[in-house]
Amino acid sequence: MIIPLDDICNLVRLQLGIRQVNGADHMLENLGADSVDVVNIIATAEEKYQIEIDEAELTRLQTVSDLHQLIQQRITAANR
Amino acid sequence: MEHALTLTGQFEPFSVVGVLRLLNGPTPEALRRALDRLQREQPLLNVGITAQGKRFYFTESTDSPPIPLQIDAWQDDMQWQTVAAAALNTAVNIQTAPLIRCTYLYQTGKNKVVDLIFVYHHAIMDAASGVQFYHRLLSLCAGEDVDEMGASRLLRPAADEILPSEMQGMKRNGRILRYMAGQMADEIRYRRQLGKGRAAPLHVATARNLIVTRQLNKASTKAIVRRSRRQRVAMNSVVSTALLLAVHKHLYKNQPLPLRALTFANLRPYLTPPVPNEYFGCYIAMLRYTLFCDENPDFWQTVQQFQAALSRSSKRGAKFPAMLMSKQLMKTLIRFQSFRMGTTAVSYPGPLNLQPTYGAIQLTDVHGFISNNRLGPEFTAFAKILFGALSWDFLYLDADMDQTMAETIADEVTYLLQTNAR
Repeated sequence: MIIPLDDICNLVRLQLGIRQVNGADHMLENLGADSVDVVNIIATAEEKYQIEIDEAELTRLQTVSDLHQLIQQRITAANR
Repeated sequence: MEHALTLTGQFEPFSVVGVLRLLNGPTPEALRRALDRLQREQPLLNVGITAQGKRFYFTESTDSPPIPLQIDAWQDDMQWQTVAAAALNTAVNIQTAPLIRCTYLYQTGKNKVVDLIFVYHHAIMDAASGVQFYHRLLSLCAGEDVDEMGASRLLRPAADEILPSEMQGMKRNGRILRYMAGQMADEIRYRRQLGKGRAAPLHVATARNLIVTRQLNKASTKAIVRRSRRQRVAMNSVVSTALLLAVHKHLYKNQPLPLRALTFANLRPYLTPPVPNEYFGCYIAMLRYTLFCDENPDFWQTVQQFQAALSRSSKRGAKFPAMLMSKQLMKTLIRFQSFRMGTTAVSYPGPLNLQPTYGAIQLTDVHGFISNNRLGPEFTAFAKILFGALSWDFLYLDADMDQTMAETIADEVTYLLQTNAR
């Protein structure tokens, strides 16, 4: 299954309650997300796509595109 | 924030101690070379602190002496704790550069354990830059090809000089006023909830820092992380609540009480421009929350309360006013010495971005401690995830409790996390 970047942008947009989110946006720096927001975004993605994301991987997440790539990797791994 | 930390250090010893446990540690000569290289790269490893009027300034020295390195023979598993505890109870001389020193508990031989102990002033390094420091140091010790960090030679401005737009001009004053009003309302509520016949934790005359450590295995760590994710709470809220409830149960015998927990926010990503972890400095804010604990509080309900308080203050942008007002808070605390900052404090940077091996060097454990003092919380901790396992470095004051009580609280924290992971 291929997840479009737009889907992840939408997910982040809905969680943070902001109008526009782009792949290049840094979740903390540009979008002002805090640790609680990040947990909500990750938990939603895990439920929606039936995947598990490790806590250590969160430290490497910076942009929405990073999140998209991580989710895509997890889906691909889960479908193998 | 650096001003608050320096004030604290003038009142009582206030040091940060970092410990790296290694197998196949570097030779003292390789360590010396790595320290020298890092000192050349990082301006904050060449500074002292000067007081001018009511302010403190970093003074960069071009002829700063090398980072002091003491080599001692490694004796046993617990030796590092004695060295670390002594360092936590000894003040860093702020006027003389560098504001960091190192003790190497060393032994030669294949697969032998060694301990590397750093003591530094908090103003030059926070948890985020500390992890970078360790990573770079171990890479250099292992002889890996590490690029020079030219850009890092520049001193980055302090956090209060690069605040985001919502903290500029009139908005800044408005935020600070709202934050102060919130703090005052919290104080009134706290005193009311304490009620007659009970007192806020009082400071003790003299006290020494002592250490207790605990570790959760990887399976339990994974389970508590999964459970917290399902509950939609951050691990910071989980570890902070676990410590608060353990102290409530054993030190306060489960009495219905309002208790205060301190937590720390990393400001680096929110500053303008953001400050990468490669740049040393202290870019944190200290936040304090009051939670009312019933006789038998439910773990996840209390975590949710903590998280709600964290979330509310985050949405109000409290981390910046908290950072700006920290010096004032420390001045008030030191001047009146009539109350303590809280019951518990947890610094939780999350999973540490370090490698298990650097060449032949194996990194097996990392510890971190920040001196507590008689006006500080009663039980403090540095919690982190290293290679999949959650571990705790607790600090307590000998005047507040004996070792048995401290060990009981530490065991309770572990028990709470293990049982609530299911």
